[in-house]
Amino acid sequence: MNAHVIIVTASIAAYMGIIILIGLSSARLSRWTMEDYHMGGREFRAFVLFSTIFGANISAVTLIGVPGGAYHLGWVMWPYFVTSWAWLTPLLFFVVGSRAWLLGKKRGYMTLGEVVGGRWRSPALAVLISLVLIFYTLPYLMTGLIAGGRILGALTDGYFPIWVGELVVALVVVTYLLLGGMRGAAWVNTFQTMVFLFGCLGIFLILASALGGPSEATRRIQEDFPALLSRANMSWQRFFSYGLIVGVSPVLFPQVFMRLLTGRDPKALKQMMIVFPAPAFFVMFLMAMVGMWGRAAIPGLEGAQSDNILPLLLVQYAPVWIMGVLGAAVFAAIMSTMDVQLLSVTTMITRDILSRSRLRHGTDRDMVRISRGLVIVLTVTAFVLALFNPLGIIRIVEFAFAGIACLLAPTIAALYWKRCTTQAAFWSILTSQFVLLALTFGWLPSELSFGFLPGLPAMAVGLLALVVVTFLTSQADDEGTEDYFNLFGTGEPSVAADPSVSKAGA
Amino acid sequence: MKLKVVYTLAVVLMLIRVDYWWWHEQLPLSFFGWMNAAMVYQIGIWLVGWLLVIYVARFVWKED
Repeated sequence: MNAHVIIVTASIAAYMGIIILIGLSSARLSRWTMEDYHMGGREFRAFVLFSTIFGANISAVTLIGVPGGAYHLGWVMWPYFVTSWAWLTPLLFFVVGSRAWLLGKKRGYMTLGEVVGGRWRSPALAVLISLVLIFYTLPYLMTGLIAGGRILGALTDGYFPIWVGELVVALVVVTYLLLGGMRGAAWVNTFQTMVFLFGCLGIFLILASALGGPSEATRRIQEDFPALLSRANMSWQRFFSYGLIVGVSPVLFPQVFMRLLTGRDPKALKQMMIVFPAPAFFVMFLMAMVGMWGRAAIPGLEGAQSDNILPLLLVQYAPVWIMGVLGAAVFAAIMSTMDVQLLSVTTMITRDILSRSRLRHGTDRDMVRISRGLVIVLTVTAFVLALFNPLGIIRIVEFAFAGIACLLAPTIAALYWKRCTTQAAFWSILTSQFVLLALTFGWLPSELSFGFLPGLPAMAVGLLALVVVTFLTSQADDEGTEDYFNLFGTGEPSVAADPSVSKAGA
Repeated sequence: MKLKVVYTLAVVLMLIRVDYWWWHEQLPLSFFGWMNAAMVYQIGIWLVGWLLVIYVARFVWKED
């Protein structure tokens, strides 16, 4: 082990140590209840709420996928994400989040399945939604491990094989989740988001300067790879469809949706929403530009190899002592998403699935114990999957984001459309998921996408099914529906949890 | 009414976000020597979107 590897490893180890210490500190305040383990007591103020929601949004995609994509596609990678996501997602925090937060407060809901299933008092719908979310969250979870492995491997010049980095990320995240649950994750994420934001700025400044400044770096791209500036490698149809998918899906990500419910009051949500677009823009902009400039500095990377461009540039151009610090920023981004993904999946399994089995008779303490066991099981599953995955990170997230985005129509209908029926929500989910999977895996001819990403026709079909089936079926006009919608109006809100949907209680 | 304006603006913004009139064009780096008009246009889309978010948070979202 040479000095370079020792310094980088020591810096990252020190960072991981700080993370675990924060997790330990938060554990002192934790209580053995589902409400505290999964929702942190629903008492986060604006700053912590912003840090945790932003941290949950920023993942391996930002520091690995975006620079890797920009290497092949050019600067278009930042508007590909940011000119819809940075503002459309916060708008949906209002459209979906404001009402969901109220439901969480009044009825003790924790998951999207409970919010939508609760609208029609349909446990089956709650289970279906949770199964869909779990199905798409697992590959997204896997990208965090893959990125951790690649980063550690590249920063140490291949000294550590990829599986070691994956194992380190998995162990650290599991440790502080077992210690502190949502409260621990929120404390850790607040620290991680700050490390990440300053780290991103540092990475950009160091690499831009090393590459001769933005003008010189862009001039080299113009001379050697002009297609990266003209967006020749991406169709406008793909740009449009992904803008919609990446704009609407984050509010439904289990890890983000759950955190929207952890705010102390609407004021905290509003403040978070106003701040969100600024850092969202800057991190994507900086990382995409660096990735594009990297094409001239380190040419010849093929396919998913370009996911390594950021650490490769750091190894080549950054001083070794800074590399470890900046490596920590990358790990911060990865772990701040992974932790709450794990937590949200365990919440869905315990609240929406296990609570309908014989385990519903267990105490809160038993359910927390099960949740902790599930954190370990899910991490091991993602770790094993990550070992065999050859796809680039962007391809994995495009698929996963689209699957989650297809749930927007039934979610909006549940919160705003009284006339909509349970059957319509079911058919919307089933048809959209079928179209997405069929177009992605070639069961239907790709011409049916008309050049758009499969997620767009899938969302359109789901919306169509929702509207058509609603008017073909009879309206659910009963006290439960009135009670649900009265929560959002001036009527007297119901404070009793709906036992048919929220069996675990609050 | 306010909500209808917000939703309409959001749809318009999503549509004009695709600046297909410049798509695949090799534009000069006219801004700061490293940014072209399409990049500045996309920054404008983000900025208008942000203003829309601020408007919703300040004037549309009632906390009652």
